[in-house]
Amino acid sequence: MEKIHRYFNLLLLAFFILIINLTVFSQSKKDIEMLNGIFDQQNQKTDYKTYMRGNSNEFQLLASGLFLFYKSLISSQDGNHCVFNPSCSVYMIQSIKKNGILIGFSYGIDRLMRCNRLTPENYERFETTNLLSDPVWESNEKE
Amino acid sequence: MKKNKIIILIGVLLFHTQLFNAQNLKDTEHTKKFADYLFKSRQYVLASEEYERLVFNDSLNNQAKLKLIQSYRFSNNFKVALQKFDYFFKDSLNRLQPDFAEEFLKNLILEKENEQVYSYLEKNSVLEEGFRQTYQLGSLLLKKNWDTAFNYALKHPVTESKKNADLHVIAFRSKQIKYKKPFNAALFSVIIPGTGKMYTKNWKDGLVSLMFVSVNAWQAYRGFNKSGKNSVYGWVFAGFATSFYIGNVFGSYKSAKKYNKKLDDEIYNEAWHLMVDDF
Repeated sequence: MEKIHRYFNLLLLAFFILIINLTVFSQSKKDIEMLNGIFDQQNQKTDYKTYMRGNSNEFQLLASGLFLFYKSLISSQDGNHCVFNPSCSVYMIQSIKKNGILIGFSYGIDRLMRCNRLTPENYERFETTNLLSDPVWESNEKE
Repeated sequence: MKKNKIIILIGVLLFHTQLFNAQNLKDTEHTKKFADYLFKSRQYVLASEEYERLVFNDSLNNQAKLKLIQSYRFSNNFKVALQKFDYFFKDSLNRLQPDFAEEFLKNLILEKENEQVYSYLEKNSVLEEGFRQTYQLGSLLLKKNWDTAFNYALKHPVTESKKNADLHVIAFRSKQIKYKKPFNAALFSVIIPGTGKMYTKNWKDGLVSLMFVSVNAWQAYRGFNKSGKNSVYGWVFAGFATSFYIGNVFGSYKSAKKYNKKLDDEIYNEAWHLMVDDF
């Protein structure tokens, strides 16, 4: 009986050594990196406070404040109905930051007039969201 | 005695992993065989890794170098492919063998280094004259340099290649593009709101703009007509109408620019597909 017990212990030891060898190669660092944060993606929200930074004058600061007010208290309550991506409010603030308060605001107003489904042929469409693409910055420009 | 047996057994078990490595599967012959298999089965990222080892083991193997660069190209790593050219043939880029020169050109085009494509072909004497002309004309079209491309197409007659003939057609067509003047579009919208957009063939946007401006202006008129200068209603709608009016002027200017860009992009895309579809 004692002999069997010893052999069993020996087998157990051999088994553990084999397992150690297998576990060393079971998962590469790349696999772990790939899985990192996959569950966080759905919870990602745009931080509109970033638009408060980098204003070049008081008008832009005021516009950014109004934008943040609108996004936090008004837009957040009524859902996303804009046909474009970025939405008209985001387009407005980005346009003001890019072109200055007068021209940027004018482009923003023009965007409001275009915010309908009458001319989808003029824009590319995002397949997942079905929104029309109309960015302030062209693909070859830097934000 | 038993203890010794156990120690020996543990020793054997510890070293058994090394026994698996007894066969060298990473020598030059095996690597080439495996890399070729990966290349043929279109697993280009993996193939590039194997060809890297092959080139490391056999630095004079030009065929492996070409396959390595092709693997990078097929896996869309054009930048790395160009870096490899720089690494392998830094001082002899202009004297590359035709298949290497062609591969270099393909990577330059895919990386959109059109300026370098043109200048490289000017210096290169290894490639055929017709081939060089085709790619030079293509690079001019990809730079959206329509006038220069048109003049180049006039100077250099069509060769036997179909690609060359098609590029000539595109070059002649590019000269016939009728652009819309952004300033005119803005001016039209200043005179009658929305007409600037209609000028750029955005009929529906033009009508919507006209409606926005006219409805708000009408409401402002009503307010002022009813309560005079002190009408809040009138001033609010006057503000809206003015904003929409100015917005439409700038929008028309932008619409004309967008219209012109669309025309340019159509020609560019045709030239692009003609150039790269057979790569």
